[in-house]
Amino acid sequence: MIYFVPMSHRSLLSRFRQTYGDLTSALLFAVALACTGCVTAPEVAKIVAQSNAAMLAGQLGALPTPEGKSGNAETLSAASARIDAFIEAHADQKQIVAPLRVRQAMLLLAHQQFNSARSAFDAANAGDLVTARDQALKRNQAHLLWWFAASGRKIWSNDDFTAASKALVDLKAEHAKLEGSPEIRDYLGELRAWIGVTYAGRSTNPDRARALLVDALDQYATLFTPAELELIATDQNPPGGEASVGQEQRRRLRAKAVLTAARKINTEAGLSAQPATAVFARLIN
Amino acid sequence: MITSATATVVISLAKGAIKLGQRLDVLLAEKTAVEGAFVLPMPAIADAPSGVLQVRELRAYLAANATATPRDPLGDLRVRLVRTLKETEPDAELVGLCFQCVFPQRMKAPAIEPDSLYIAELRKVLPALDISDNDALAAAFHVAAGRDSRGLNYGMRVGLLVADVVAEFGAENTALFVRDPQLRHAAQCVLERFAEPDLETFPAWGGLLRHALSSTLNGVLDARSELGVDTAWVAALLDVLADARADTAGDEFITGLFQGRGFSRLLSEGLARAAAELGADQTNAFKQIAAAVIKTAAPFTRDQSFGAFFNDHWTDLLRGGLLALEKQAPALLKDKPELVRDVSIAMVQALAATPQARLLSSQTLVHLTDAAVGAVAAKPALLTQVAGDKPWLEVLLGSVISTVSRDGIRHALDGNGIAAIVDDVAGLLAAHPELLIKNPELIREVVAPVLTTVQNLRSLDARHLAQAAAMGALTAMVARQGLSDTRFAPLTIEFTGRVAELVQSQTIRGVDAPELIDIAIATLLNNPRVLELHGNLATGVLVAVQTAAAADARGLLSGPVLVATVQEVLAATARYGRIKAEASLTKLTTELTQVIRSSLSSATDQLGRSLALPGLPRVIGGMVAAWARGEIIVIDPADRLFRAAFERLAAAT
Repeated sequence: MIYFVPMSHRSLLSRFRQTYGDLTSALLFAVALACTGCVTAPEVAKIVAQSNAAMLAGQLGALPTPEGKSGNAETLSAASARIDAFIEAHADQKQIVAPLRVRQAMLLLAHQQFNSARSAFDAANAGDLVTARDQALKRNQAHLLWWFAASGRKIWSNDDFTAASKALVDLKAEHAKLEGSPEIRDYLGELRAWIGVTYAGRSTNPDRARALLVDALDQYATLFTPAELELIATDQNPPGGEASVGQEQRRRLRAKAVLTAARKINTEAGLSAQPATAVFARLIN
Repeated sequence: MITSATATVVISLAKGAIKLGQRLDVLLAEKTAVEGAFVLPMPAIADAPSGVLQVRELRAYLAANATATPRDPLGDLRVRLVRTLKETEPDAELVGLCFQCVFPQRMKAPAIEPDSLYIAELRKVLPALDISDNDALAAAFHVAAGRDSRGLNYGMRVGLLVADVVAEFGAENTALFVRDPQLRHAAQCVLERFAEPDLETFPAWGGLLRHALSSTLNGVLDARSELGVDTAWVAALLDVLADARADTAGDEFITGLFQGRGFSRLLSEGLARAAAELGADQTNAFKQIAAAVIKTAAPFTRDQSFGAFFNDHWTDLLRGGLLALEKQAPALLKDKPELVRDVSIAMVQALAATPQARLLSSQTLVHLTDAAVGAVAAKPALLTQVAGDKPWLEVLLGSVISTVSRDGIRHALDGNGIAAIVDDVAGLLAAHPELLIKNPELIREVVAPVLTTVQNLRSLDARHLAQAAAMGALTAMVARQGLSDTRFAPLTIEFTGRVAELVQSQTIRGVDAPELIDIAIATLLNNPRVLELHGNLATGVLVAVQTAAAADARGLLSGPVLVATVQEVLAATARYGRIKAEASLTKLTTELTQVIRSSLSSATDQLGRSLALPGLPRVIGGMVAAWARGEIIVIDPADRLFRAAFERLAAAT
């Protein structure tokens, strides 16, 4: 039974025996063998870290990457190429490949590579995605692709208005599906709020703009508890000073930008929109 | 020095460790990809004056600049703008373009960057947060994976992976841990079966439960409460097994049932189909049937032979019962829910009383149960009816088994061939149980003689011919009520025998034989008065055509032409020659042979001119009809009337 141990391993085993004795050396040898060939998990961990850094670079400008390089394009291409290389080598691991494709799609969106992002989304098989976050991103890929492109346009075409209407409907329905996964619910909820507020801002009819603004903020308000709304109203933060940010805090802090944009449109156009949530109504008027 | 046993353990351990390492690596990689932190950015939004404001200011601009000047920034857009600004909802794209032309500086506001604004807020409220730290910054944007749609989380899957590898290691080294040889084997079997698939790859509890189902009986029974409402039919079956284990013969009996060949098929096909076709409220009826079958059979299974048969086939009885329920569910379950149960019990008793029951295939048993339920549903008295000195159901089973077990035909048709034919027949009877109500021995009376007639043929020819004859005859009996009271079946069987002889002597091809059977059956059906003749008109025609064909040196009648000629001559004779047949079938056959031979002789001159070979059967059939009607008196190619009739028919083809 010992014959099929390769020569290199035999010499290793011999050295173990000299040092530790027969049985102990055999067990150590077995453990040593177990540690060989474990390369997949660390590689995926690197992909996750690098893609996250590249995503931030795409949004916030060049930041240091794990490799110490900087520059958006370089960061993007390195992270995306790493995902491609991994997938090519592990195409049979569908439940690893699919979430990596979604990650790649969002990375490309952050860098405004819309066609490549579409291809990455299309390559992610919905049936192989298992988490609420990845499934929701895949379900809403059309809206994400449109919004990441349209958000930067000061002038919307009729197609943009149609796509915005559809996105508002679908993302409202998405809210109910993500009750048990608050972080992705918040992300898509905020995304919807931005779409709604922007739509109101691009609209030329005051009645329509008012209705859109009210709808956007009413739906956005469902993400917050009454206590959180009170903190938003008073612009207060619970005492702490921690070095990290929690989900509730993140949600509140991010709301300020949405409400500021809504207030600008509401006052500038003289809409006098009155969302059902009193805090929001007060903050935008 | 490492002993051989130690080396074996070490190698086994090493293999386990390597496997554990590799699979753990893949599992952790998947966990990182699936659950890893994900920075989701929010795109920057282009800031511009609102559309409502743009409309307001453009209207004011147009009011102040009513006429276009050479330097008009609107250019060609002015006309369209004026038009759209009169609308309730002006064209936003056009308004935006015009606003950009008139107030270009107002469209240069910087974009709103939600993520940058968020970081600015973070700096205010969390001064201790190091924004320059990439990891800390990423953590502020991470969006967690949220719920996993699978039932097993990664902690559990890592545990299963370890358990799997340990089970595999244990299976290879059972001797080290279990001293009792019998127990060791059992332990090894369980461990091996449990270690077969990669446990950690099960996406949800359902898969794991299915694996447990096939690994250990107790695992199944203990897990039955966790199967949930979606598998009500499976749960019902497991409840029955659990009850039976407690009430009757104990673990050994239930283990045998569980290990029978049909269990997985019942789960995968029978119950899945039942769940789809029948309502959930019907599971109770199924439960009663299953419990009755199992409890009834328990005492009989002490006979080792029947016990083995029952273990393999108890699920066939349930599948047959489910098929019957599916077809007749509304009536059966509403009015006679106990009927399927009673038939199934009677089947168990009849099978136990039939020594050669093991010759029945699974599928035949399924069909027979289905057919028996159908027949009893139509006529409940059958269940207690005695035919001869045996219960009706026992007669039915006996009829099938005696057919399947015919030793005389075993060298022509192997067991599989006979089983296939009987299975087809049983399937037909399941669809038309009315045939059995009148005659439970139908299979013995129709199929068995057919099998005998083909016994000297080559296996393939025998199978095709027997299939055509048996299924053809029974299908005709389904189509035409009352046919079973006529000579239809014996005539078909006799004709089949004659065809088999011709195939055996290589006078006709085996491939043509089934078609000849179809032709004969169709003719008998279309001309029912032929059945009243003393002899067999079909056989007579076949003999006449074959004799004439053999005498023809050119071999014009062979293969498809021979088959077509039989068809034409048989149709013509049945229609016009019945009176001649009533006088003497032998004489008719002789004269038919003469007509066909003379026609073939006449064809010599016409073929290639006014007649082509494919048209020859139609002409011969026409000549036979003319002769039968008395239009031809002298059967001679040189005769004027004969020749005129032939030329007329040849010209008409």
